[in-house]
Amino acid sequence: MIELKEFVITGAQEFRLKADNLQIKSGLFIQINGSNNSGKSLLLKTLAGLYSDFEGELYYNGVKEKPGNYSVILINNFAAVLPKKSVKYNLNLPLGKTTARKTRILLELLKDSGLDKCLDYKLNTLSDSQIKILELIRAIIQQPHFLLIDDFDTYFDNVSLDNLTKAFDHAAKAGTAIVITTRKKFEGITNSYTLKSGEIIKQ
Amino acid sequence: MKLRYIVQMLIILILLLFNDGIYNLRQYSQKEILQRAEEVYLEIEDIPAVMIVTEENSEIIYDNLRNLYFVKQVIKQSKPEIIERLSSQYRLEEAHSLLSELNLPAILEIQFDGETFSATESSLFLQATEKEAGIFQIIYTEDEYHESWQKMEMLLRVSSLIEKYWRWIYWVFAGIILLIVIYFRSSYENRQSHYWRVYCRAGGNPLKKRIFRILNSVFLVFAPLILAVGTEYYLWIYRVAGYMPDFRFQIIRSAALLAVSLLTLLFIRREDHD
Repeated sequence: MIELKEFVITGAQEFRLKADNLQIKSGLFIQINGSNNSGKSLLLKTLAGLYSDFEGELYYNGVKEKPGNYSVILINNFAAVLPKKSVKYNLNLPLGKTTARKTRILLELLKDSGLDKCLDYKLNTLSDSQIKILELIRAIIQQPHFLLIDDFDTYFDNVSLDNLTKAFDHAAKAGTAIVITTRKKFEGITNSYTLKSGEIIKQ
Repeated sequence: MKLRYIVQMLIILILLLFNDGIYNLRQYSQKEILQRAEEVYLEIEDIPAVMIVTEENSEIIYDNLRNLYFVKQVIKQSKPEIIERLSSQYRLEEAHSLLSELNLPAILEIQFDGETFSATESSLFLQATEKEAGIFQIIYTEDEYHESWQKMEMLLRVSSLIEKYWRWIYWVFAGIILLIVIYFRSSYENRQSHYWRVYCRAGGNPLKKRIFRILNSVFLVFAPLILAVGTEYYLWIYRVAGYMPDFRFQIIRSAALLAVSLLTLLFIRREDHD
């Protein structure tokens, strides 16, 4: 679990985001919504250890820790793929030796998302949305403690969400906490936060 | 292993062998020059000066000449030897007693030391013989030695030029190899940086990136160094062209290359942030 104490992130043009109230527990699906320039991306980058202009303390499982010093994968506008390589290559890129069970789950998830038919295709022939699905499946199969997805509604619509139900279930079972940021609020997600006036408010 | 990496290793290997070749060439050329010089020394020693002196003064002149540092040996043909030679050469056995009564001169054959005898020594020789009393004739001309002296002068000039500059070429070339290693390491890793960034962002183990970078640094120079040293060792063990490697230099060069290859990692662009 991640807890933030007296945590303030500083951005450009004296932007400050107070993120005291955020708690990320294992296996939960958390939604953080906010308008443009509300600090959504900055918050996720900070949690992933990719942004360091902040004050305050972060506790991981009750122990003070440096952001990013835990198992975390961030999916954002950076395409963590090699466009000239195949889907298969990109899927296996960060994976070490996978167990038979993991391989089976991976194949199931690929089938649900429709990516199983284009395993040998080069990444640059896929749509942005398909690439993000690949990144998502690849991240879930690694079972990180935290999976952070920025601008979730840019890449995933209701149809793709339906196809990814199994993937999210698998993440929840593995104890992966998924944090998504959106512009519009997705209904039906119980753990929801809103970024407003430089503060994070639990809904 | 990427083709680019293999090509880089091959280039380093060729440069290392070329560097060793400079050392070997110097060794070989100096040996060759020494051999040629020996031939020139023999040429000089093969042309003796002949001196016809009175029998009475022959011993003093003999001793004086023998003490000159550029004289290798003096062969004296005394009266009995000359009589012996004349009588046997011209079948004058019967005139032997008659010849003994004659007042014959002694002959001194002076063989110069090829290593020390040059134009300066020639003047010294002439000066030394001028003072001596009892010399009838000297059969000696400098012209006979000129060609040998010129050859020697040229060989010495070439030898000193090689000795003066080979070390510079050798170490400067080693320095160039160091710079090339720095360039190869940084350019290769900068090309790979996007791959590693994607790898890490995709959830890959960052430790693997560090281990691979270190291994790439080590193997880029280690493999060519092992091959170059192995080749030298082979040439040395099997005495190919009398090769004698400079292992002290090999150790210094290997350590410097490995250190530089690893230190280059400190200057490789970091792209950890979006």
